[in-house]
Amino acid sequence: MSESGPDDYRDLFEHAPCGYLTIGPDGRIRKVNATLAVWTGVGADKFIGRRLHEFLNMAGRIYYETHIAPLLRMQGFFNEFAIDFETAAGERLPVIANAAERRDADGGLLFTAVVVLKATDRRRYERQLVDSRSELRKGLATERETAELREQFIAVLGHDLRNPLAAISAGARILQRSGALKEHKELRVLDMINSTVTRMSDLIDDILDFARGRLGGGITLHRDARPLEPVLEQVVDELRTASPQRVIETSFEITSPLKCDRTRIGQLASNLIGNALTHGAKDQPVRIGAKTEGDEFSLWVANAGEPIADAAMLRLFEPFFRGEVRNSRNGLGLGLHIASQIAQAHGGRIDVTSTLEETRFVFTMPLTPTTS
Amino acid sequence: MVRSSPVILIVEDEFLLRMNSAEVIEDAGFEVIQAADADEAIAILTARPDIHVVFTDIQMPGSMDGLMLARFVRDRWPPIKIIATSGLVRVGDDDLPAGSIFLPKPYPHATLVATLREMTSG
Amino acid sequence: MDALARNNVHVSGRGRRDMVFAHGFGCDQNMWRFVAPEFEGDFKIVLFDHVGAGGSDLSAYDKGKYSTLQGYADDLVEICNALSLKDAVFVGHSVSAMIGVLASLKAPDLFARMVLVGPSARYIDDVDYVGGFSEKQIAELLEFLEDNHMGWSAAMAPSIMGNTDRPELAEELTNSFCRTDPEIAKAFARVTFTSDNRADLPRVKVPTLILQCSEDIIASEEVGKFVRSRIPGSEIVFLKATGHCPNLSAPAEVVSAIRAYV
Repeated sequence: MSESGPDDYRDLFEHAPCGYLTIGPDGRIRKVNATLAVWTGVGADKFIGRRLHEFLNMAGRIYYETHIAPLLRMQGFFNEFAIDFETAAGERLPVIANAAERRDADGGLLFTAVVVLKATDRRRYERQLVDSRSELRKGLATERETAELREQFIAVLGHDLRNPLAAISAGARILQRSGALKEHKELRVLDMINSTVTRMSDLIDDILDFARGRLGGGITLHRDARPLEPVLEQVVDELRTASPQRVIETSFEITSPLKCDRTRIGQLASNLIGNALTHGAKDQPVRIGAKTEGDEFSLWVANAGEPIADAAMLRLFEPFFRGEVRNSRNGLGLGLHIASQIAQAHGGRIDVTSTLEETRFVFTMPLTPTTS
Repeated sequence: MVRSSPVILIVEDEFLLRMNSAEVIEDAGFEVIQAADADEAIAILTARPDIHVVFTDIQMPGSMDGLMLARFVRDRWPPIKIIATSGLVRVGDDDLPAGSIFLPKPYPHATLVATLREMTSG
Repeated sequence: MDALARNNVHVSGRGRRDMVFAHGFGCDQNMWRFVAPEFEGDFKIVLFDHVGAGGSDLSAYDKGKYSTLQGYADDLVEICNALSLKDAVFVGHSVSAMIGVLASLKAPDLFARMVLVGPSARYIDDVDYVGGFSEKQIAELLEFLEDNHMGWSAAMAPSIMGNTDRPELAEELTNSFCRTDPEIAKAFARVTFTSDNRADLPRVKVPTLILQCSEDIIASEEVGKFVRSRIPGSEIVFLKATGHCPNLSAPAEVVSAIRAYV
């Protein structure tokens, strides 16, 4: 007869580093090991013949009846479920458990083995994760609500500002149509009304874009893969019409498909070119080019003229920064800021170099969006 | 037999916009009646049986906005066709009575005239 | 929305009479796997998952609609109508017992007989009523379900392939029988355990059988007897089976009890 030693099977069972119990086909506990008895403070003999759920808290009992027991019946095992034992002292003992049915050759149930690990720290950690995630979700929901309200406000504001402008335009058109104004000076006044309204409308667009960007959320993009070149050509045409005495040279080589918000990129290009027209040498061309190379799309605008002062370079993309030129004709100083916002929204950036030879703004963005 | 021009009722609270639209529509050969809000429009519709099309803005002060007016008109005078316009809301097909057209602002005058011609032909 | 797809409806059997099975809180239609097939010879069997459980269309889950049991009852009526069921036998487990009651009140011609397995008209104790639970315990349950959310995603995707003891399962479903979106599970638990259908019982016009287990902590004998006393003309059978899911733990007993009644 061999002496029982500390590593014989009976001992391994009793003093395993986990709780271990078996449940008979009648649902009553057959065996329980010493570890579990110690953890729960309940004597081993008190376990035998009772049902497992008698040692769980109410939530655990319900969970046992509605999930654990059915799953064991249907699946034969259930791993990593969390339950709480109630210790003899009335405290909670959170555990993670595995359970598996043992059946004989005919499929008859012999017993169910259940192994439990103490999981106080782990359960607390998981609870913290769950709690912070639900906080996060609530926060996101609130943010989404606020963003929607903000969008609505901006939309209404834009509409309310544009409506009277449309009325002014309509008035000018009525006068034009009437034929009553015949003097060259009077007709010029009508033209100026229209162009001033257009300028005002552009200012409103800039302010609203600014509001969208600054009040949080940034500029939302509507990307598609439609060709960008026609949009850029149109932007250049409009600027040529507005400044007929200036030369704008283009060089577009967009060979790879590009997913971007065409309207916004057009706006970015327009702002960069407008900036070049305003600050660049009036007798030199403004050059714009765009190309795809590798995984990158780049668009650049270059002009000749006085280089940008070092102090100004640092503040170029700040909102309302107008540098030396203080003239309401050139807008609010939001053009470059909005351009940089658009660049950011596309996951890209704008770099500037300015020397005596030329000033160049380069917008680059990845072809495959890394930010959604 | 001389066919009289179809009668269009414009409902728009912004004076200059209303006047400009009226001129454009008249130049296209229609007869135009103007109303500044839904209440005026309903009074006119009640008094005259010969209105073909109601062309209404959506954002309007007063008891009803353009969408409610559209529903009211379809309910009381089913044969009258409806065009709605707005610079703010985007209106879906289900929001307006069946057969109505929505024109988002700003719209080209040619589109407005073409729509009116189609609605009053036949 | 097609109700049959939404609720993962399965129809089988060769009989001319109809029999509908409704699962309770926690699992899905698979919990009838040892009971329903026994009736396929005499009945057309209809099995389904409540929205939010099993293979149902989770995108159809609407917080407002399913904040009361009536939402689930409406679905049940819709399914039965879609299949043109008439004079069917309804077998409902746990909370589905009351869902069936509500369905039969809404569409009185739907069911000719009802079998309620482990029913409870109200789970939380009230003045002069023992439901079995306090409000505090139900609140603990809801919090506890969150604790099992993490374990859920790990455990609820079963690798049935690894279970050599039950080879027949290896070929069957790869979905877990009790897995569902934890948010929906919590909401369903709340709806179930805070429900109160005591006032609906006296209005039931359909012959009803209650199957009551012993030592069922979710729906005790007292609760089962209450249901029997309030549904006019109803009968109760006390099963030898213990626990809350006799359809899984003692299916033969459940089958013979149902057979004797229909």
